[in-house]
Order: sequence, then C-alpha cells, then structure tokens
Amino acid sequence: MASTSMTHSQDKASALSQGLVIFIYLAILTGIEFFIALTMDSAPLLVLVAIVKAGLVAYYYMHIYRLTAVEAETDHHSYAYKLVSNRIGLWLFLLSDSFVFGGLLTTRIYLLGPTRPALNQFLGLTVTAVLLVSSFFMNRAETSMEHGDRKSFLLNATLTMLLGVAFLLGVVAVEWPNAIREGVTPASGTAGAVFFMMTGMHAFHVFTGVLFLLVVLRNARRGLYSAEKHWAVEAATVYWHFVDLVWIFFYPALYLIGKLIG
Amino acid sequence: MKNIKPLWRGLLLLFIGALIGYVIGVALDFLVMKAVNFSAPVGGLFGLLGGVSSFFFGLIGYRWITRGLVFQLIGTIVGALFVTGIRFILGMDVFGDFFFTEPAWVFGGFVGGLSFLVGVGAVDDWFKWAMGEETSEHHEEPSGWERYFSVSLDHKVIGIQYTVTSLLLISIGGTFALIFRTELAHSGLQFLTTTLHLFDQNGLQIYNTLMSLHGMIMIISILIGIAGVINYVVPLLLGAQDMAFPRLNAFSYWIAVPAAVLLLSSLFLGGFDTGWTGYPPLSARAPVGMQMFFLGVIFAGWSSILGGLNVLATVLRMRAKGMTAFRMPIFVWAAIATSLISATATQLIGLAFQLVMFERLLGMGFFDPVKGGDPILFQHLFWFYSHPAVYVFVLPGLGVISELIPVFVRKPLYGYRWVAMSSLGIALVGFLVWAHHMFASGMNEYLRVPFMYSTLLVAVPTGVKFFSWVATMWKGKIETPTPMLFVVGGIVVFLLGGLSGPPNATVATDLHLTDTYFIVGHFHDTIFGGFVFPFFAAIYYWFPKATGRRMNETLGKIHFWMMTPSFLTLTLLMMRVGLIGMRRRIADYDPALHIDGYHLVMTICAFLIAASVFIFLINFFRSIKHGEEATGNIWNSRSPEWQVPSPMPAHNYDHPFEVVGEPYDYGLAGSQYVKFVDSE
Amino acid sequence: MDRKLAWVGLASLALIALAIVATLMLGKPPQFRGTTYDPLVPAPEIALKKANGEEYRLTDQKGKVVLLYFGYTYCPDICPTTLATLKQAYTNLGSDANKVEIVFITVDPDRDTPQSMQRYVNQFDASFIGLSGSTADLQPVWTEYGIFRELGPKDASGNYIVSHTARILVVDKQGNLHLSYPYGEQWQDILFDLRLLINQGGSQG
Repeated sequence: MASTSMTHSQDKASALSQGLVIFIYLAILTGIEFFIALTMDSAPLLVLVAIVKAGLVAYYYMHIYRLTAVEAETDHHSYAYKLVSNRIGLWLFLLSDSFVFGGLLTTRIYLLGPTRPALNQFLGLTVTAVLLVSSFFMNRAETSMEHGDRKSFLLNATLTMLLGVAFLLGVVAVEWPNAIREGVTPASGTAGAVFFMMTGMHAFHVFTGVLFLLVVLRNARRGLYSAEKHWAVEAATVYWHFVDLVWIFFYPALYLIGKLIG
Repeated sequence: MKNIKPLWRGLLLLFIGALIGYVIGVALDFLVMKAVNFSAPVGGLFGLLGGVSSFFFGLIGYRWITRGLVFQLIGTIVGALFVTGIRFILGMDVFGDFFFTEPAWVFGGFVGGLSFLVGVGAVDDWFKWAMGEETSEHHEEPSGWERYFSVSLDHKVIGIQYTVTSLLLISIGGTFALIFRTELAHSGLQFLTTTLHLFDQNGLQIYNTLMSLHGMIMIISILIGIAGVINYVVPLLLGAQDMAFPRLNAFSYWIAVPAAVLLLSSLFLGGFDTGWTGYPPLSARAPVGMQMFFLGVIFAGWSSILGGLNVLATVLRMRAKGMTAFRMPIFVWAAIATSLISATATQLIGLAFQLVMFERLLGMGFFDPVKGGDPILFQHLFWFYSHPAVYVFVLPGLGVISELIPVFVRKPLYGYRWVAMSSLGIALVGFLVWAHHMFASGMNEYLRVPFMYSTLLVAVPTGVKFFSWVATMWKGKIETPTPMLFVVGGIVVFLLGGLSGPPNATVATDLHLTDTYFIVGHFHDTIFGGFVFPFFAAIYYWFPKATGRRMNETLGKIHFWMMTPSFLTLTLLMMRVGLIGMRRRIADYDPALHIDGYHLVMTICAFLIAASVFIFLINFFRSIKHGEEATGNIWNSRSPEWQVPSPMPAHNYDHPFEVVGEPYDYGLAGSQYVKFVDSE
Repeated sequence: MDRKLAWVGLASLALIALAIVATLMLGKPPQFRGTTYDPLVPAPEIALKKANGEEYRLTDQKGKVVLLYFGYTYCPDICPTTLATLKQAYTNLGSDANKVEIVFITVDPDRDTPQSMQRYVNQFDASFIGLSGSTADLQPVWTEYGIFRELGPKDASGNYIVSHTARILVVDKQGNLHLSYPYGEQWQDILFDLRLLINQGGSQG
C-alpha cells in the first residue's frame, strides 16, 4: 500500500511539472505571437504559432494519444471498455463541433479578408491569458484526480471554473460594451457581426464548460470519482481544453491578423 | 379491438383539441389585435399543437410523447412571454404581426423544443448522472405497442420509431406536393388564387410555403428514414447488443420530433417563400415562419449529427469477434460513409441558418451587402453541407441495394472491396463539389471549372457500384420477391438520375438548365433511386425480422408496379418541360409553352404514386398484426440477423457469434460467414 | 525536467524561429495589387472648375494621393458602383483619409455642371470632389489621360448613354501616375494600395 502510494506521488509530481512546463511553453508562444503581430504582421507565421500551440494543448492537455490506447478488455459492459468508447464519442463530438468554429473562421476570412476590427488589444491579451491560466489549473485538477487527490482536484477545478467565469465576464461584460462604445456593434457592419458571432459562440461554449465543471465539482465533493473511475472529470477536462484550443485560433483571427479597419 | 379503441379515442380528441386550441388562439389574437381574424397565426399554431397533443393523450394518456408535446406547447408560450416581458420593460413593441414579436417566437420555439426533450424524458438519465445518481443499464419500459411512444433505449425500438416517423413525414410532405401539383395541372391559377386567405397568406404565398416545406420535410424524413434503417440493422449486422451510446441514440430520435413540429409551425406563422434553401436576402426578409423553419432544421440537424456520431462509435467499438474491416457487411460501409458526412458537415447548414437568424434578430450584416456582407457566403456555407447531404440520403440506399442483390441472385457480391471503398470515395469527393450549385450565382468564375471536374469525378465511384451490381446479377439465379423488385427499380431510377447529372454538372449546359424543371426531374430521380426505392426494399426485407410476420406480397407487387411507371413518367416529363422552359418553384406558367398536357399527366402520376404509397401503408400497418407468419430465414440470407428466429430477441443475440468467413459467398459450398459460439 | 518535454519545447521554438527567419529573408516587400505604370509618368495637368467656383489644379495636390475617376451623373451602373467601392476604401482609411483625394471628372459636360457633379458625389461622401467644365476644357484632359468616350443615340426623352473608360487612375504624392484599376476591383485591394502609397516616402515604388 505504502509503495503504491509512493509511486503514485512520484508520478504525480512529474505529471504536474509536465503540466507546468507546457503552460510555460504556451505562455512563451503567446508572447512570441503578440511580438510577431506587433513587428512583422505575417499571417502565415501567426497561423504556424497557433498550430504549434494547438498541438501542445491537444497532446499534453487533452491526451489525444489515449484514443489509440486499446485495452485488452473484451467485455463490452466493463468500465474499461466503455471508457475507450466514451473517449471516441467525445472526440467525434469535438470533431463535429470544430466544423462550427471552422465555419466561423471561414466567414471571418471571407468577409474581412486581410483586415481586422478595431478592438482593445489589452483586453484581448488579458482574456487570452485568463483562459490559458485556467487550462493550466484544469490540467492540475485532472492530474490530481488521476492520482486520487480529491482535495487538490477540488481546489484546482474551482480555480479553473472561477477563471472561466472571469473570462466570460471579461468578454461579455467588459469587451463587448467596450467594443460597442468604440462603434463596433453587431449591426454596425461585417466586422462587428463577425466579432460578436465568433466571441458569442465561443463564450457560449465556455459557459457550458463552466456548467459541466459545476456538476463535476458537486459530484466530486460527494466522493463519486476515484483515481480509477473518473470519466466525467476527464470529459470535462478535455472539453475545457478544446474550448481553449478554439480560442488559440480565434484570438489571432480577431485581434492580430490583418490590417486595422474603422 | 383493444388497440383500436385508443386510436379512435385519439382521433376524436385530435379534433376536439385542435378546435379548442384554435379557438383559444383566435380569442387571444382578438384580445391583442382588437379584431377577429379567423386565419390568425396563433390560432393555427395552437390548433396544431393542441390537436397533436390531444391525439396522443387519447392514445396513451398523459405520459411520454404526450407529456413532451404539452411541455413543448407550454415551453413555447413561456419562452415567448419571457421575451415579451423583457421587451415590455424596455419599452419596445410587445406584439408583432404574428401575435408575438419575432425574437419572442424564436426564443419561444427554442425553449419549446428543449422542453419537449425534458417532457418526453429523453434527458432524465443525464440529469440523474449530473446529480450523481445511479441509472440502471436496463430501462423500465412499457411493453407492447406503447413503448414506441416512450423513450426506449433499445436500438430496434428506436429504429422502428425513426422509420414510422419517416413514413408519417413522407405522407405529410407528399400531401403538400399533391396540393401544389394539382395547382400546376393547368396553366393559370385554379384554387391557390390571390383571393384565398389562410394563415395570413394568400394562395400564392401558400403555394410558396407548401413548395418550400415539401422540400425540407422530405429531406428531414429521408434523414430520419436512413437513421431508422441504420439504427435497426447496423447493430444486428455487427453482432452488437445495442448502439455504443443508447441514451444518445434515444435523444437523437426524440429531438427530431420537436424539429418536425417546429417545421410545420412555420406554415402558421406567415410561411416562407425561399424554397428549402433559405437563401438570403430573401430569407432575411421572409415572415416569421422562416425562423421556425431555421429552428426546425437546426434541431433536426442535431439529430443527424448525434446519430452519425453514434454509428461511427458503434462500428469502431461494437463489432463481433473476427469482424475485420473487410468482413463487415457492405451496408455497414455505407453507414460509415454517410455518418462521416452527417456528423461533421451538418454543422455548417446549422451555422448558415443561425447566421441568417441573427442577421434578422440583431441586424448582423453577414449577408447584407449594404453592411459589407455577401449573400454568396451563405451559399458556400449552405452547400458545403447540402451537397454532401444528398450522399447522406443515397449512400445507405445504395448500401441496401448492394446488401440485398447477393441474397436474391445467390451469387457473391462482385468486387466487395471496391464497393466498400466506393462509398467512402463518394463521401470524400462529395465534400469537394459544393459550388456546382452556384454556377449561376455570381461567384468567382474561375471556381466553376474545378468544381465542374470534381463533380464529374463523382461518377467514378458511383460507376463502380453500378458495375458491381450488374456483374453480381450477371448469370445469377434472380428471384424477384417485392424487396428485389424495389432493388432493381431503384437501380434503374438511380441510373436515370445519374445520367441526367452530368448535363447539370457541366457549366455550359447548366447555365441553361439551372432552376428549370430539368433539375427537379434530376434530383427526384436520384432521391427516389437512392433513397425511396431502397427504403421500401429495406422495409419489405427486414419487416419480418422486426415483427415475425411478412408483408403481403400481392399488395407489395401492386405497390411496385403502380409506383414505378408513374414515377418514371413523372420525372421524365419533369425533365422534358424543364427543357421546354418550365421554371422551378413557380405557381403558374405560360400556356404558350404548350406544356399544359404534360403537367396534367404529371399530376395524375403524382396521385398514382400517392395511391401506391397508401397501399403500402395499409399493407405495413395491417401486416404487423395480420401478416403471414415468418419467423425463420425466409430470404435464405447468410447475414447473422437471419440465423436467429424472428422477431429479434430483446437483447439481440442470446449467444455471441464469431465471423469465420466472407459475408457474401453465396453459392460456394461449405462456406460460412458467422458461427455462433455455443454451436461449437 | 523530462528530456522529451525539453526537446518538444526546443523543437517548437526552433521551428518558429526558422519560419521567422524564412519570412524575413524570403518575404518580398508588399506589392501593389493594382496595375503599376512602369516607368512612372508625371500626371498631366488638370485645371477645372469646382462647384464653389474655385479652380482645381492637380499640381496643387502634391503630398496627397489622388484617385481620378471619369464618368457622368446620368450613368446607370458602372459609375455609382465604382464610387461606392471608392467610398468603402475611403471610409476604411480612418485617420489617413485626409491624405487621399477622390476626384470624379465628367465625360458628359453637356449635361453635367460642376455643381451637379458635386451634388452627385456628395451622395457618396462630401469630401469627394466633382469636376466639370466646357468640352473645350475637358477634351485635353481626356486625351492626355487616354479616356475614351462615345455618346450613344438619344432616346425619345432626349437621354443618352455615354460609353467611357471605366478605370480608376491613381496619382501618388509626388504627382506621378502610379496605378490604375479595372472596373470591379475590390475595395480591400484599393485600400491596401492606398496605405502603401501614403506611407511611401521616396519617389520610387
């Protein structure tokens, strides 16, 4: 018993430090992204940085490789077998959902082309940072649950949720009224329409992610998840990172790429 | 007798409920508008919902689907009142042309649709999970016919629910077609005249609404129909006990029901005149009915997305032992190809319609040139789904054809791997052809030629299928019971649809043919050949599996021999009048075209098709109770589901099977496809 | 720290650094999207009356980018759509708009006075300039700029169509004819070029 908890704690430490390193990478890349936008104004470079960031999130935070982890279990009713099916189902859903966001990006490219709306850069960078930090805590929360540390899970998941709420407020209660004051309204033209539709659709997903986390938090408090059985926690985590991944593309598309208009 | 009684009770209540709903609606309208308007939209809507809810109340009492419909009615009103209240507080207009204002109707319709799902109980288990409660693997379900009106998790029940709903919607959509087809029987306006006044629309507006609704209701009924066949058959073919996600499966079905209600309600809220495509700027100006249409399509879209996702997960995870990729039944390959499209591309029609919805609600200028928007963008987003969608419609049907031919010619399927890959090929190429719908739309001209060639490329994998069918039948011992008749009919009709395709795909000829009746003839051929004929074949074929009784052969043959010639005459004449100059989507035409005679024949053919489908429906419902018993392998098939007695046991195979051979080795001595584990 | 993770980080940075270097080395200076005059030619002089009676001389406009467009107020299609396109490009210049001048010169002096030309362009933007004059004043301008015009037959009410060259001509800050656009150019492309021209210090492009 003692030895298993020892190995667990070792694993946990390295898993947590991995999450931290990835977070630092993402933060540095975001900084580079902003710098490129300021100095070079090169859309292909910004897209490349976004793809690298998305790759890191998909691999290290969303654990996409788990999809290919085929277990020896053949009993279709066992938890292990269903877990893999559930993962496939969730990823298929994300694939489907990404077509919505892809369609919105297409709309943005088609209508705005090499221009971008006049938005508050400070607010944009702030909400991006908030969402990135929330992903960091989400990863800590999941890692804690994987190692049976419920207390740490509750703390980190609560932080994630609060940061998610902060992101929502930042977009809906600060950035939107700010844009409207600057004359970028839903009805002002295509730039406003695209901005509100993209941020609105994304904020809706963050909102559902917050609800999902609330449910998971409540059930975790009641002790329904363990290190072995916590599919709901994994699903909420993957979904949360997916929403962050979408923002990795939306942020440069709205704030960084293209010439300012208006 | 026991079952007929609730039916009569339901029908009686249908009329009473509809009447009461209508009267309440008209009275409410009077209170707000201070004038009696017998065609008040809200009266029609309340009549529809009141009537349908009362029907099911009479049939099964206040539970399951009845509860869902009542929830939808209440949800719609509460949602609409909520927005109306906010508007009242903000000092905006409280009531609009159609009783509630447009934002109130949209929010009400949305809340109503979700309320249905809560009321019917499709989300009960998920609520329990969210609350941390246990749910049992095996649901408490009513027994007998009543379970088909409740949320069942059994894929066979859901498959039948889908199929019957599809038949119901086909009947409704077909009735709409008969109405406007009758109007077209002669040039000039007969009964849909400008003096007609119904649901705040005149005769021409009614024509537009019915024509548009015919399109979309048929499309939804096809999506539901293929979901029905796939749901029923795929787990059986795979040897699975159920779909990978049974609750999601039930949810996918039940979300299609409020979708149908929303679609129909557009008829009462001013209708819409855009055709099924809903192009802006017309759709940005159409009455509120347009929004109900959008909501209905978005709901139905989710049914299709989640259903497709479920099929993919099921095929990936639930196959029997030994069933490798190229030992799967060919229909499963078709289901994969179809599901890949519906699980992904469907999002884009939903998005396109949402963008128009928000353009109307908030003045967002996506497609409004005055604000810098571009209507062509809508067409790109719309067709990115709606062209692959036609492959969603036909691929399962083509799969049924490939599945049934070997059974009825007693020969192996020719070129199994090529046929399997051709389904995926069609799906893949289908993603790259959408702009051939836009040759005349004013999109960039340089896009025309690449899209012309990618479209013509679809003929290659489709040709593979035709060669396989012909080669499989070649020198086979062809038997022609009803399912095989429909298979052969489907091949002939689909061939006509296929051959009339390249003229539309080629830019030079399409610029002349676009928006004519030639197109109407072309796509009716593809959809009948690719969906309707195989769908009937599938029903005749698997009916005994579901009920333990077979459908009447004589009636089946009458159905086929009445429908096929009528249908061929109808579509060939459609193409003919199209070439002469008949435009699509119009209520009247120039007598100088001298096509009155053709139109009269087409109308007669349409009624003959309707009569044949009516015969089918009688056969279908009668055979459930009174059909000839058929519990064995009546088609002498090698497929696993026919190796066990009919009707299928509750949890499918009592003993799991293992795949030990090739699926279509008909006529090869000693070959075996599946082996049941206990039979060793 | 995990070695693999360090490699991933380094590889990401290296990839992006490589891409940045490649962009800097291979990236061409921004190119004009319109058709460039090669070599640049000094724009021929234009001296015509404005609506308020003052004389407009093109040589007085050095330091500003001037867009010349020839048309007439009875124009049924091409002129209003082109002016609408110019308006969109002009509005989206934002604070740079005062460095750009949009001039609409008639090809139909019999019907267009300086006043009616100005009234017409005001419907798009009040800072646009409409110019007219006598045929004798205009003929050299049309000839120098290669503007083709042909009066169509008169209809019953005496109206007629004028066929004319529909290109937009751009004169840079140094007073050289620098770019031209065919009919149907996207406003985004025009905006792109205007920004380049505004920011160009030297005389070469």
